[in-house]
Amino acid sequence: MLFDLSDDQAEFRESVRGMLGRQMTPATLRAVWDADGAGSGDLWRRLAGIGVQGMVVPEEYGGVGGSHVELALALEEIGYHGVPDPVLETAFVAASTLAQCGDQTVRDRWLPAINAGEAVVSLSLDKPALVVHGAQADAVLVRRGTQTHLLPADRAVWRPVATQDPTRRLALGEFQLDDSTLLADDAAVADRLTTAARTASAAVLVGVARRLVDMTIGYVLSREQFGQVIGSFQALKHRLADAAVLVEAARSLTWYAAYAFGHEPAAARWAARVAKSAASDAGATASAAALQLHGGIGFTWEHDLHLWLKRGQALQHAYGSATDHRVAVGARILDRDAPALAG
Amino acid sequence: MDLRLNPTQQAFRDQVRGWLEENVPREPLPSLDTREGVEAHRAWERRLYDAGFAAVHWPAAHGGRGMDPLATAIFYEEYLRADGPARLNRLGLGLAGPTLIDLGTPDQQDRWLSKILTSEEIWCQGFSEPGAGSDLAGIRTRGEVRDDGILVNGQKIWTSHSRWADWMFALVRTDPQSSRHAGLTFLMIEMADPGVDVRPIRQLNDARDFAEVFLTDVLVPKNNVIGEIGGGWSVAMATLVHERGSGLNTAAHFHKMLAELVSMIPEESRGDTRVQEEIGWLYEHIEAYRYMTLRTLSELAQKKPPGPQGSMGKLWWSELQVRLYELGLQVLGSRAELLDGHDDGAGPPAWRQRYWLARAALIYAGSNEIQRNIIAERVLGLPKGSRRAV
Repeated sequence: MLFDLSDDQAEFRESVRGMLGRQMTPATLRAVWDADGAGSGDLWRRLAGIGVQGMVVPEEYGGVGGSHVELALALEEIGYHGVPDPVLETAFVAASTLAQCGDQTVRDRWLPAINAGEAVVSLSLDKPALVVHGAQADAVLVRRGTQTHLLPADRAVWRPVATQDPTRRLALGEFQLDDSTLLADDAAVADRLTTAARTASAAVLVGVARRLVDMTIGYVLSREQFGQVIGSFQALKHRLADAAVLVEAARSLTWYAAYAFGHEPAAARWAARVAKSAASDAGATASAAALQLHGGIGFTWEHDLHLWLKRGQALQHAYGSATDHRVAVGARILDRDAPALAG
Repeated sequence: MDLRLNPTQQAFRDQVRGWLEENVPREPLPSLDTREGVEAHRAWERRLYDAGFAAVHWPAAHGGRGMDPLATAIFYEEYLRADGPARLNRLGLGLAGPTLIDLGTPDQQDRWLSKILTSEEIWCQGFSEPGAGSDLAGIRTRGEVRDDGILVNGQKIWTSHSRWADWMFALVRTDPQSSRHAGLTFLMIEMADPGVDVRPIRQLNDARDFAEVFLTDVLVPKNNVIGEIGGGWSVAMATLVHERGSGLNTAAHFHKMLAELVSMIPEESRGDTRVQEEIGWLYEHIEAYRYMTLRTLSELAQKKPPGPQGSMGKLWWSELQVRLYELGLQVLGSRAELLDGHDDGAGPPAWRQRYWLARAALIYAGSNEIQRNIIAERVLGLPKGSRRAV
């Protein structure tokens, strides 16, 4: 029993961190905003180059064949650096799902392309089909009930929908699902798809929340009032401490959810709910503290804070809010007929 | 990252589990409030000692098993699972012993360690004073350094286990000109000394778990000093590092409490989404505590410095615990205020005591306000604010 990153995992995280620190600066993100969300240049291919999209693609399809824990570490950095592309949907959800189901033709078509950074696959879990990067994706995984479909771009019409964070690139899809798009009609596959989305979005959100805390620490250490930096005031310190604690809690739960996704399938769905709930809570608390402690400057368009505030707000509600997940977990625990979750 | 037990951990787990299944008393031992209860617990500690389980985290050379923090956690998880009796000598086994192992002389180790292991001698902690709570460096108990020893005069307070303790490890101010962290000395005081007067404090929950300890002309031999005279602060800090490994407030413990709480929730409330959400919140926070703790134990087992979460455990468990027991009181409703014997179930007094003790946990071992300062300053790098009263 050891719940810690291996040296290889820590090294991989450093390589992602280093690359994104150079390639994905706030100025880069702002440029994507100013271009109304249009593309982040060659970042997608660079991420593929260091093994992010191919992390859980099996080696027989050219992938890294690594673990979901490594992938979660990369996703946290992706949230931290504000990467605007649908990495969690493609690298975690689509790669895991396609590696597990679908016929050989489908796997041959998509897995090597995902690994190489040549395919963007997005996700629709429910109706209405508001899908991130819907119009730009090469395909969209669609869950409806127990069915999992793979919808190539030419099988749907995507109408872009304006959102407060233009990098989300939400689109509303019109499409028909039929036998030709069906990957699997299996509740276990569909549940695992949802579990993947919750686990992966928790990881990104932990990164967003950590960024909000770090930006705020930087600000309260430089802003002076009453003749001292405002970070020396206890009321502000306690507020940041509370946010930081929630971030570390959510991060620990996310590591476990990613581990469980690969190693403890029976526990994975509850671990994912718990992790996403904790990440949403950390995101909300970090956002509120960040906006409050930045004072007026944080309320301006010019300051970078809102880029992360809005990403965080979107992710808090995506793939289930804290309330949704807590109610579901609680209902299950209170159900006398259901087996115990843990303990 | 691998959550499966490795073969060594598995073998140890099986050994502990097997021994506890055969040896844990079927009936609960008498209460620690009575001399009879203390003796019954001492006899149990002796059995743990004979089986080599008194302090698995101590080095083998000192009678432990040299287990790393993960294996130690496995031991405590099994102990809880088997419903083992309360540990009698927590401060001896958890704090005094490890401090002696780290910083005591061979003579001091010979003198005290084996009697800590067997619980022949029970220990208490003499740090807090009326004027030194969160601000431990405000200690005023005097220690006059003389040729024949150190003459101690002063008062300690909030001293748990002092009623039955044989020894107290204490911080006293041996340099009257000093202030704050300088001029303090860490020493061992024998509780049987006629100058030691223990006065139990009646608490708001009507228990008497802690006491005031008055020290009047207690002459402590110099070979009872741990480290150097005047160097007590660093010894005390080394002691407090061991508080993290006390092993009691585990996620397994809170899961057990949650299961008990869930069993009390009536059928008609189980479909209420507010109740469901609160139970979900509790489960999530207990799980978070489990994995934050496991992260820290894993880092310590590999001799790495703990990550940020290593400074957050006390804040986390103490606050989730209050919320857990508050929900318990809410479920009990108007029965929650009944005294023992006035309700057909055993529920209300036990839950109310847990609730009050949970409130105490927000204060002891570094109040949660201090914990937030520590996180802000040591983890987040924010500046120390002015702490002096004006």
